[in-house]
Amino acid sequence: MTLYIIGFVIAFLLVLASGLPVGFGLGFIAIGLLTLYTDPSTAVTTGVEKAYTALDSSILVAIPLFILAAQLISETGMGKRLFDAAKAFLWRRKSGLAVATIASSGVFSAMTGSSFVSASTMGLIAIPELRKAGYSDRMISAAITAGGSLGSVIPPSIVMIVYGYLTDESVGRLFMAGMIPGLILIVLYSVVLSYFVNRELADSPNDLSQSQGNTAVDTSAAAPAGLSKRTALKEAFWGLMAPAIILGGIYLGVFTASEAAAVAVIYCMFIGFFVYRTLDIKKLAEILMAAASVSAMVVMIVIGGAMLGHVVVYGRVPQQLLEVVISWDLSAGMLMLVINVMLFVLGMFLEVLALMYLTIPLLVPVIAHMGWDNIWFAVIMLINVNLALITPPLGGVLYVVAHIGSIPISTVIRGALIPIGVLLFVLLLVILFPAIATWLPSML
Amino acid sequence: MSHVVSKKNIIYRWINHSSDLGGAIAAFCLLALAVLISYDVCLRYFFGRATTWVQESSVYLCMAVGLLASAYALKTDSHFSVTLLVDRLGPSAQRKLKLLTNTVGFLYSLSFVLKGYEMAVFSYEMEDVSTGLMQFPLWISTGLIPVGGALLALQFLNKLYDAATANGDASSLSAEKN
Repeated sequence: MTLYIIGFVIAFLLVLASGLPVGFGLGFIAIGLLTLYTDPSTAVTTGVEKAYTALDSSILVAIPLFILAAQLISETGMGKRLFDAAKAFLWRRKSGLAVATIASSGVFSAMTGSSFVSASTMGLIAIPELRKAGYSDRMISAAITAGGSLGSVIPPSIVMIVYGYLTDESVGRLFMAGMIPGLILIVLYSVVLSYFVNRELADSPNDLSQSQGNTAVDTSAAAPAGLSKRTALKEAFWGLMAPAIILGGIYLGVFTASEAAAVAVIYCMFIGFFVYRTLDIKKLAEILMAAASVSAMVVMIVIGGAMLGHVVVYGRVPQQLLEVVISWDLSAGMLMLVINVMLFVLGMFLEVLALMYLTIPLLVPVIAHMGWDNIWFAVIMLINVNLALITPPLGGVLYVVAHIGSIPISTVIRGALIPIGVLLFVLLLVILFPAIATWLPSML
Repeated sequence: MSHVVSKKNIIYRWINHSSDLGGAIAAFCLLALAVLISYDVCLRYFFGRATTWVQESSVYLCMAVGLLASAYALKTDSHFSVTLLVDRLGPSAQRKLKLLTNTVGFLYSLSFVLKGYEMAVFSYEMEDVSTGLMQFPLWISTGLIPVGGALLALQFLNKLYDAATANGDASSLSAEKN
């Protein structure tokens, strides 16, 4: 059994490392494994039927809509206005700019649900400003990877929607479960980054001017001229209303997640066309094409993942794994440690949705056997997903930051160690104090 | 010889246009999805009425977005793939691996065309409809699988052609793409 799982994981990693797109890789492995149980024709028929069944779900409708909302927020200039507002309010010392990046990423995440869109948008907006203020590339990387990683925990999160879909858990409750851990992350990221930035600025002010692309270092601690709080808040008001509508609507039971996403799309289009006037028909068409493209990528992973999930269940792998786990006779704490180490290691090598599709069907019986709260475990899983986004060698957000900031990947990885440390600390907090995750959903 | 190359280029471009068309239809479906769901919300909260068809049709529109845009996503390299190890290989090994992975992708897509077609024909012949109030003919939604699969398979052929003709020279490839 253990050899079977090890062989399966190695084959899985090899196919994904071949450069075959992840969605197709998952489906290919699934059909390949199905042929171990049945003839090739039946394997393909079963696979395609599972693909159709996987898509025949109202939960998944929210995903393309949140992707579209994210693209709209990014392209209409809402993200830039949010950053400017955060900068106006949080610029006390130089480290305030890092805090502004985290805060605006948090708000941005509360509108989009995507870590990649959050990291790329905030990266494009914040990196030039951070450079101008004299931040080193390592600190820039720390700030943007930290901000980007918020997208999976702070609701609405695409990863949470997929978790709800895989475990039949209420997406609304999952969204609420991510709220407090998300806020803790924002506060801790801000505090820790401020400490490191201040220490770096104090220790080596001369070195800062050597940072890459840094031609005009502004060493004063005063806020940039013309950044009035009132103006910045006025400009960002419409952007700040978006998370209020989305989260308020879901929390008050006005919308389902899909409806909140659709309303967010229409709201962002309205703001883009009539308030900010940054949107026109041509740009909207481009945004729609880009969002459809990203949605197709996710849908292919959902299809491949569902096919693989079927094979795993068909082969009774979760039950066999459960039997193995029971035979180990581990304490709950030790089992939780083993699961988290496994998720952390797999997360280093797997794309996040692939990680979820591989591990959740395996872990669901273990969670039930241990009597763990599904919402609590969902948040533990999501923090691990966040870690997967920013841990080398395959953390997707790392490459986004390296690409956008023209920063060597080794420097980005060194910078990401700061948010990785914070995430591990928050993971420990959630494991030790489950109420951090379960209290808010219990109020629904 | 140039006649053969030109013919290949026409097919290459035609395939790319078909992927673009799939992407454009998917983009329209995505917009329709947002508008219809918002319309339903407005109807419910401002007029106290609800539709019987929006929730169900939104699932089919979502399917259309994913399946029809997939070839366009492949064309624009939007599908997430892990290239960390591939990037470290030499040009010849990279080319061989691309030929292999694109062949796998082509066969995978082809399975969607063949089995998806069988599913759609079966639904049509059985006059299968959805179990919801809408009673939507299921051959349309199942038909999205072979259509999306065909667009994908064709785009994988283009990718195979790219890999086969690259010879380590990326510039010739991008020039051809344009």
